[in-house]
Amino acid sequence: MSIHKRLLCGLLVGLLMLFAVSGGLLYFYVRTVLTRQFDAALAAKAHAVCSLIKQSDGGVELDFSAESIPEFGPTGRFDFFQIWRENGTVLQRSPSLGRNDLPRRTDVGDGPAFGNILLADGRPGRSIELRVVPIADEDEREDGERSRAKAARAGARSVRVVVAQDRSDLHRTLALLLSAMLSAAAVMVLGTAAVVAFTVRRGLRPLGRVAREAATIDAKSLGFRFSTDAMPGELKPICLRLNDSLERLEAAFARERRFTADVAHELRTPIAELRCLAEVALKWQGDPETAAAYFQDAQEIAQQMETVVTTLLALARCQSGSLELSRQAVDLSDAVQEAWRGCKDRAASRNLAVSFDVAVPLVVETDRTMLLSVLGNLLSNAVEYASRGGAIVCRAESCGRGVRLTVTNDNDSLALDDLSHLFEAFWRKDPARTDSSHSGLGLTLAAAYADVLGAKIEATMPSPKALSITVDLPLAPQSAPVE
Amino acid sequence: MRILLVEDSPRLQRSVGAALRKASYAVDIAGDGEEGLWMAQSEDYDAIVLDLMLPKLDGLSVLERLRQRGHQTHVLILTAKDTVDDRVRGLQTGADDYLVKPFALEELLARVQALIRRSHRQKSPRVQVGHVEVDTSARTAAIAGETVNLTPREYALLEYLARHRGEVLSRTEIERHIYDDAADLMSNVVDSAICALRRKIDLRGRPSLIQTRRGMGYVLQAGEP
Repeated sequence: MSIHKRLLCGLLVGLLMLFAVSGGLLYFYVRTVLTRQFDAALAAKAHAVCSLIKQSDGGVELDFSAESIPEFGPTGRFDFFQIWRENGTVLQRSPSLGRNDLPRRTDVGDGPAFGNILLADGRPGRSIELRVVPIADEDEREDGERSRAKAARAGARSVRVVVAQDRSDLHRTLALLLSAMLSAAAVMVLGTAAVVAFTVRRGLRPLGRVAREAATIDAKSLGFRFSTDAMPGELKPICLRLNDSLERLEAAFARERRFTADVAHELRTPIAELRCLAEVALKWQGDPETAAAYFQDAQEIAQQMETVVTTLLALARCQSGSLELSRQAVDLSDAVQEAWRGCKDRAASRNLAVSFDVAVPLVVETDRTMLLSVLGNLLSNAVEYASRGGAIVCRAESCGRGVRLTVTNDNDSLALDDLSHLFEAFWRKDPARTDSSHSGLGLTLAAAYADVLGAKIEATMPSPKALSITVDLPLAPQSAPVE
Repeated sequence: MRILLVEDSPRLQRSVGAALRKASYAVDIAGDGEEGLWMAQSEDYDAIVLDLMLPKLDGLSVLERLRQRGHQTHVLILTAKDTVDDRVRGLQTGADDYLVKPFALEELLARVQALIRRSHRQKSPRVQVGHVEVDTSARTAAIAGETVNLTPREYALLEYLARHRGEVLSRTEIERHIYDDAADLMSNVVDSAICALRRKIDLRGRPSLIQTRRGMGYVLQAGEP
């Protein structure tokens, strides 16, 4: 369910319930107030009637004349009374009542009790019923209540009085009030629905905009950023987080694209060489000596491409974490010598002075093949990029809970700024150096393997003319307990 | 026609160089930018094939300096850089053509040929001198529709003379445009080559198309009627 619908339903239901309860309370309050006023007027009339009842010799009589209280007279249509003696016989009816009776209630004590009744002609009415002990004529000047009490004590006979009034007006007023309130409620409901719908829609507009903008983002438009200037406070953090993610995603995509372009470029040169020499060999066949030279070239190119592809695969495996390590005790002195064997000839041809300073015995528990690859790449990099006739120093020493391996070579081309690029794939100080057997991936792979082995690899320049690459190898896997 | 190939990959130097030579161009090869610039300035080449990623001085700088110093030699950039930006920058720096590696050898040869044609302000690959028709795209010569059997070097000589028909060309000029540095030049190598060519293209009983100007050199032109 959408936020829009949820807000709309919640607000509408809540507001409607609020209206219904407050409207109901208001209606009942007004009805109670009006009924009380009506009852007060009815009680006043009953009091007027009661004051006319007199105790006389041998009975009770009513001193009533239609002139004094005309509403009870024969022409009165709204006010009625009826008085009964104790034995249940009717003492008197108001002339307005004609020959009809007013309903009497049996459950009423001395009263006064109010109740809704139905008048003889079907109109709704309201009655007050009470028992009255009439006072004697001579007591008339005394205070009414006290004299009635006195009369009751004296065993005076009491009468039962019912005074009624047509309550059609009250009924009509209340019905009018009810219908007015219902119409107001209907208007309020419709208005509220419209206002709520409008407000909710307006309030959710920024959310819709963000959603629409987000829907347009794909791999080609990662440069897009949500504008947070006019954004509501609740959405701002979300958009900022999204912008952060987009930035990281864009950087990752750019890195990926750059890497793919680099790979394509690295493979393009050997392919061009291969294609060109094949076409030359095909176009001008016949010279076996030239053909042999071309085959030699083709083989070298194939080897170079194989190196690039194998290294790329190894890098991909490192990144995917699918490499399985086979750890064993490796003597560093042996490993260094074995790795050096592959670089010996090249070092001799470049007239390099090489010295080893490896402590004996120095044994680490690690993956031998990977360690050899790291060592081999560091040494071959040193041999390839050392100044001609320069020196290479390979040192391994115990260092805290691990082993520090350092390969240092003379170098006159690198600057401090270059150190950060040293482990990047295909990075070369001189971009034109694509012809050598160095793929530009050696140090990248060394760094990747060092990472897998739990080692820290770092390049430094101990002096402006020397490059040092340091590998800090743990003696044993970090998860295993170290003595 | 003498061509300078500036390329750092030794394997491409060998194969492209061989292809251009087989196509009867004289080819000089430079392995880095500085050498390439120096050679391009010291010799009058018909065309230069230039790599961009070069040690010491990159190809674009070589091109820029050549153009700054007023060299008009046609330059074809041959590079692995394939983006539109790279091409545009290369052409704007003053290159006449741009070919991306890997390339088809035939295309490289055709483009080099087109460049040379352009440098001699010719649109058509065919040049007619007297009764001889030289087809610079098929690299053949024909007399009255019949192909004359020429060695690559003889063809190169004929094409060079034909492109400069009516101009007197000195022995040194001819040497420079027809022979590699590598070829061992004897003093009469041009004379004997002219002699051999004359035997193949001249018609009996008619004056030779290639006339000798004593002390100056040779000129190819249709004989007076």
